[in-house]
Amino acid sequence: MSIWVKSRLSSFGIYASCMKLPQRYILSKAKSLQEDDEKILKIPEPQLDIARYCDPSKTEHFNKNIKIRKGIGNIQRIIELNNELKVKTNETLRRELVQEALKIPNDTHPEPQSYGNDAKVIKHIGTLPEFGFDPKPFDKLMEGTNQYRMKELAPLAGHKAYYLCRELADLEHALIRYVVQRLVKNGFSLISVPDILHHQIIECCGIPTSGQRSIVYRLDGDKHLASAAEGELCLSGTAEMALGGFLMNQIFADENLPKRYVAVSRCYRAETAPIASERGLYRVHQFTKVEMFGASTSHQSEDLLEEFRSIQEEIFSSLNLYLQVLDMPPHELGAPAHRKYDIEAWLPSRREFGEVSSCSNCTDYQSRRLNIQYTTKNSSLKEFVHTVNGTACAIPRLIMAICETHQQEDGCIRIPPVLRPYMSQKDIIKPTKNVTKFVKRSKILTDIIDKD
Amino acid sequence: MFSQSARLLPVARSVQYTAAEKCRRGCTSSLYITGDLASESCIVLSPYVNLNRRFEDTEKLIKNLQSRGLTVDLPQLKSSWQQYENLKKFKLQLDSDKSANLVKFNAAKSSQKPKVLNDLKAELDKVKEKLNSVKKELWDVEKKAILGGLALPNDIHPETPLNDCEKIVHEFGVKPDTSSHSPSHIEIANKLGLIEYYDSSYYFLKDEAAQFEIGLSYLIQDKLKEIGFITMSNYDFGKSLVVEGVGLDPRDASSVFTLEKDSDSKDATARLHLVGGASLASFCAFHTKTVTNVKNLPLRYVAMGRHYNPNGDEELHGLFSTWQSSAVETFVAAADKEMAMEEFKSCLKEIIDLYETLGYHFRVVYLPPINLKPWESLRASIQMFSKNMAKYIEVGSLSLCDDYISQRLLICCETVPGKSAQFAHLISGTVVSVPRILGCILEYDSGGFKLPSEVLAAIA
Repeated sequence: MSIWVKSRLSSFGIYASCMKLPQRYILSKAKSLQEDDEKILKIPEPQLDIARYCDPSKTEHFNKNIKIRKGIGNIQRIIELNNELKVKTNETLRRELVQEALKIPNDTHPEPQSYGNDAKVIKHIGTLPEFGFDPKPFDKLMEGTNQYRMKELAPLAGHKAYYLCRELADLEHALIRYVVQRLVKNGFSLISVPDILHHQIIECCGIPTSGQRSIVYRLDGDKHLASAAEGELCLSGTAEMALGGFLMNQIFADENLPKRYVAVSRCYRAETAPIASERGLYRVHQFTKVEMFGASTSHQSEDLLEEFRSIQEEIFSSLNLYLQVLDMPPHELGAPAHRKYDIEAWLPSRREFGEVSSCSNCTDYQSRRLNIQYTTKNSSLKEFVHTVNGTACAIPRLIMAICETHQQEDGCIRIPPVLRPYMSQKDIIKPTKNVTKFVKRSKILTDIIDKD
Repeated sequence: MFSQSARLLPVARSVQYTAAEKCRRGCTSSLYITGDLASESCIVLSPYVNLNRRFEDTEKLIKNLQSRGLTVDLPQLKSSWQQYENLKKFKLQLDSDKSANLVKFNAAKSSQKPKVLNDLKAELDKVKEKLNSVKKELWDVEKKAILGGLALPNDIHPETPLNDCEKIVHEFGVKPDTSSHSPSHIEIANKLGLIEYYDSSYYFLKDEAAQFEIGLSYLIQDKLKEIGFITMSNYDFGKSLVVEGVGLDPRDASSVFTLEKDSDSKDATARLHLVGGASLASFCAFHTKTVTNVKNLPLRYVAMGRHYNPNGDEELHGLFSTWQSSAVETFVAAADKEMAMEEFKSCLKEIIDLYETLGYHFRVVYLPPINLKPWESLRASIQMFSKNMAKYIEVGSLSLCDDYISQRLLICCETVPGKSAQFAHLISGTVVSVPRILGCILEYDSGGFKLPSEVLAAIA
C-alpha cells in the first residue's frame, strides 16, 4: 500500500479535472473561529492493498470471490495496469488502477461461501403468533385513522410520504428511547450525526452516489455546493455513513478497541420497488433508525459482529416478535461486507417474514477508504481497523411488525410490556377515526367560505 | 499522505437563484399555476386570494409594508386586481353567452334552416374568439394580480412593537456578566471533548452533548404531551407548493434546501425540498387541503425531529447557525382569531414554565415587524445570552400566523359540514432549537458542562 499512501493531489495535475475520482474534499472550519486551527476535513486517498490483488497465487481466489459476489471487478486488468506501471510512471494509468481496485468486493467469510444462492436460516426466535381471526395488514389497520396517514400526500410531500401521529408517534419514540438507553447502558457512546454528507464520504463507505440505480438523494448542485465548489452534497442513507465520516483519518491504540457507537438519525433512500409486497410503509424513502457502529482490531471484528447480532436478537425478541435469523449468501452481501446477518420478523397478514434489520462485518473495506487505523504495542506498523455495523431499530418496519403481531380482533394493538414505561404505562393502542380530513375537491370548500 | 496544498477555503456555498430561475422570478409560482402554464403542470390546489379585504385599509397595508422593509408597488397591484376582477366577470358573462348560443345553435340544427344556422354559427364563433382573447388577457393580469397578492405579507398584530425595538415580555434569572472575555461554545466544547465541529454543514455531538440533544427533546415533548399536546412524527420532505404556501421562496437556496431534480418529473415548479419534520412546512403539508370540525379545535401538536435550514446568517457562528438542528416544533390550529390568541398566550406560558424549570437565564421578547417572517403577525422570541458574542440568541419562538397560511394552503375548519366553513388560524413555534440552546448553555457554564438533572431524568 505504501506507494499509494505517498501520492499527492498536486501531482494529479491536469488529469484532476477529467478523472472523476478521487479528488479531495476539504471542508474548512468557519472563518470566524480560530483561523490558525489546523482542523480541516480531508477525504483520504483510498489505501488499497494492490500488492495483494496482484499476487499471482491469489488470482484464482479473487476471481472466485468476484464470481460468487455480484461479478463486479476485474482482477486481470489490475494486474495488467500494475505491470505497465512498473515500467513507467503514468498518472492516468495509476488512477485507472485505483478505480479498478476500488471495484473489487471485500473477501467473503468462508461459511457463507458454501451457501450457494440461498441464505442460511440460523435460528428462529419466539413463537409463531396464532390468531382466532384474519390478521389485517398494517395499512388496513391504520389507514383513515388519527394515528397514521399516507394517502394523498404525494403532491404535497413527495412519493410515499407518511406521517405517524399520536400513539404511533409515541410508539416510535418509545422504541428509540428503549433501544438507545439499552445501548448506552451497554457502553455504546451516543453520537449525533449530520444527515447531509459530502458524496465522497458516502462512496468511501462503499455506496455509489451517482448512476441510474443509485439509492442516494443528492441536493441540487446548482443551488447547494459543498465548500468552494468541490463535490456535491447527498443525504445520508444510514448513520453508518456519517459515523464512518466521524472516524475518518482517526488513529486508535489497540488497547482502546473495540469502540462502540450508537446514533439516532433520519435515513433517506431514493429506492423504489413497484412490487405489491413493498407497498405502504414497508419500503419508504425516509425513516428514523438507531444504528450501532463498531471499530475493532482485525482479531475482534468477528466477535463484535456476533455481539451486535445478539443485541439485535435480544431487542427484537423482547418486543415479543417471531423472528428468523439469516446468514446471508455471498451475492447478497454488497461490496463492503465480509459477512452479513439479516433478522426478519414475521408479518402475520402476509404469512411471511420481512427484514427488520441487518448487521455486517466490513473488515477493512471501509477503513482503507476512510483511513481509520490503529497502532499495536508489538509493532511500529499501523493496521486498518475493522468496521462492523448493525441496525438496532428501524422504525417503520418494527412498527409494522409490532402492530401486525400484537393486533386484536377489534383493531387495537397491545403494546409490548418493555415499551410501556415509555408510553405512560399505556398497554393498548386504540386507533380512532381521523378528525382532520383531506378534501379532494377544495373548490367546494372555498365556495362555502366565500359565501360565509 | 495529505495534500500539502490543503488550506482553509472560503465557505461560500449558496447559490441564490439559477439563471433560468432569475429570468422567471416573480412571474411563476409553485403555489398558483397561472393559466398559461396550466397545461404543463399538475394543479394540486388554487390558493385563496381575495385582495378586496387587503385593500379595505390601504393606509394600514402601506404601513405594514414599510415597517417590514418590503417594497411593493401597491397602486399597480390595486389596478391589476381590479382589472382581474372585471375581466373575470366579463369572462363569466362570455361563458354564459357561449353556452346560451350553443343551445340555440343545437336547437337550430334540427330545424334545418341554413341561413339561421349560419348566422348562429357566426355569432358563436364571435363569442368564442372573444373568449379566447379574454382568456389570454386574463392570464396576463392574473400573473400580476394573484402572484402580486401572494407576495403580500400577513397583517401586523396590534401587540407587535412598532418602534423597531424588541419588547421584553418576560425575563428569568440574571444576565451573565460579560466584563471579561468569554470563550465561544465551540472552544469550550472542543476542550470538553463534546463536539467535532467543521462548519455549519458538518458537525457531530459526542456523548453528553448527544445525550443532551435527545434528552432535552424528550423532556420538552413529554411535558407538552402531559398538558394535552398530540405527538406527531412528521415527514422531512415538502414540495415547492407547500414551501411557498408557508411563505418561503422555494427557489431561494438560502431559505430552503432543494433536492436534485427528478429526471422523470416534467414540472419545473414542483420540486422536492428538505425541510425536516420539526418544521412549519412539514406540519402544513399534513394539513393542506384538509377540513377539521370546529368541535375538535384547537388541535395542539408537538413534533421532535430534524430542522434543516441553509441559513446564511453571517453574524452567527458555530452551533448558532447550523444547517441541521434537532428541534421540538409546535403547531396549533384554532377556529378563529380569538381562540388563536388565547392559545398563543397559554402556549407561550407553558413554554416559559418549561424554560424556567431548566433554570438558565432567558428572556422572551416580541419582535418588531422588520424581524417578522412574511406569514407572522406576532412573534415571541425566546432568547438566551451568548457570553462570547455578548448578545441574545433566539433559541425558540412562537408565532401567530392568523389565517395567512390557511388561505394559501386551504387549511379549513367547518361548523356545519358541507354548509359553513372558515380558514383555520394557525400558531407555529420552535419550542427549542437544540444546537442553539446547547451553545448558550456551554457558554453559561464555561468551566464545564453538566447535563441538567431534568434532561438526565428524561433519558435514564
